[in-house]
Amino acid sequence: MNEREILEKLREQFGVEILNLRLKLMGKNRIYAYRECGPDIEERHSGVYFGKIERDGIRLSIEGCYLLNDELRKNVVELSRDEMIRWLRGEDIERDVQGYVVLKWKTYWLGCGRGNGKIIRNFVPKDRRLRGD
Amino acid sequence: MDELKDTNPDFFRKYEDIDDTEEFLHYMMLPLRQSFRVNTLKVGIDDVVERLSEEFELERVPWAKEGYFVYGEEVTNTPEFALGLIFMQEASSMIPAAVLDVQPGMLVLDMAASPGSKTTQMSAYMENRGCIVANDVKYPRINILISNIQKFGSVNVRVTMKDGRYFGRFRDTFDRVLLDAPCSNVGMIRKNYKYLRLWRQRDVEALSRLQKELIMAAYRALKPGGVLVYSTCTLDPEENEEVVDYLLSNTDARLEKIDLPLKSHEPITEFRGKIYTDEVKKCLRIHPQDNNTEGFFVAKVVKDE
Repeated sequence: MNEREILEKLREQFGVEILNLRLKLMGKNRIYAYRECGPDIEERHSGVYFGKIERDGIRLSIEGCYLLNDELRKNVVELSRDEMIRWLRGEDIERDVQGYVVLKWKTYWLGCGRGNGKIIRNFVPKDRRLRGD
Repeated sequence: MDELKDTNPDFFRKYEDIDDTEEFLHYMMLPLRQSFRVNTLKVGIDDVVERLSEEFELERVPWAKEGYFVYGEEVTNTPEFALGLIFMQEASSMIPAAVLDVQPGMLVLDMAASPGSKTTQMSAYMENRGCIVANDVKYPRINILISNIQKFGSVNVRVTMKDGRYFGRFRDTFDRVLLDAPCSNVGMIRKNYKYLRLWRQRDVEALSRLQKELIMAAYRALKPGGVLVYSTCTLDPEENEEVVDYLLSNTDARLEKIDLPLKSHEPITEFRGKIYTDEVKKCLRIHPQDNNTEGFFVAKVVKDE
């Protein structure tokens, strides 16, 4: 999938119209966002992990959601405060939605989940979860 | 206190010549206050402050509008931390990026960047535009740097792994250069007593030699009209005033006075038989008792057009 095709997918899934970033596809179908810059120099790394191409769509990372921000217009699920805490603890959330959605509490983007009509499956990485009860 | 003095008598003997006040010793041993920066690439300052104020007492860091001291337990177990909306950073370490005056679109070199707190701070000031070359020499430190850049969401950063002296070949290239130099970490003794145990005068002298080479390379890489900030988290004059004096003696570099709302100590112009130019008085020498932070040293260098 090239950059144009990724943007097309983002438009279809989340209503994204404009992308002021470059995207590159790396190993394991992982997409990185970056801006071209700087002198000719051997680099170790550039770009922010933006999301992953899955069989059934693009799963955005938490940072991918923030980079898109106001461009996220479709498949956005607003959570209550209690649900936001549960989500960040790694729990699934009950909602009648299908496919990939982005979750939001007030102005906070909470990452991406996948609905099956009953629950939204949690993809918050373990090292980003809240600890405790 | 006596027990601590026994840990490293050479350190305490030397520091009698740097700051012999009881206040200095008292604050050197006090635990550090926790502080964070709001990630303005992701969220508005007010949103985060309003939410965190429900659980914590917050106090603004006077020299960084997005910096806050935080009082209370477990700020690293909050939604704001998990989502990368706040970044834990010692308050005095927010000074160098604030002094550097970066702007969106600039080309910036962060010569010794890991763990990336100042890199991400500059990325936020640059609104994720322009370019920061964030360099570090050590592989394990590179991984921490990459991880923090990721969590912050900085897309305008390229990470390199070079000896900082390598950048001298990029003559007159960067609009801004930050050299937060490897140092003897005396300022961090408040965070961890291991830095007191590890301190050795011969390491200070070796670091001073390295810092002089690094600052020369940093100055060479700076564009005419550009700004270089040199900083350390130590208080040994050999690693601070002496390094800046060396740059001023060997180049046409000029110092600018730093104007920030904080207290500081008069920089040292004479130490153990060495005399440094009075120009170094324009630097910031921050002792722990000045603002109840880590000890820190910052110099703002300008290369004329």
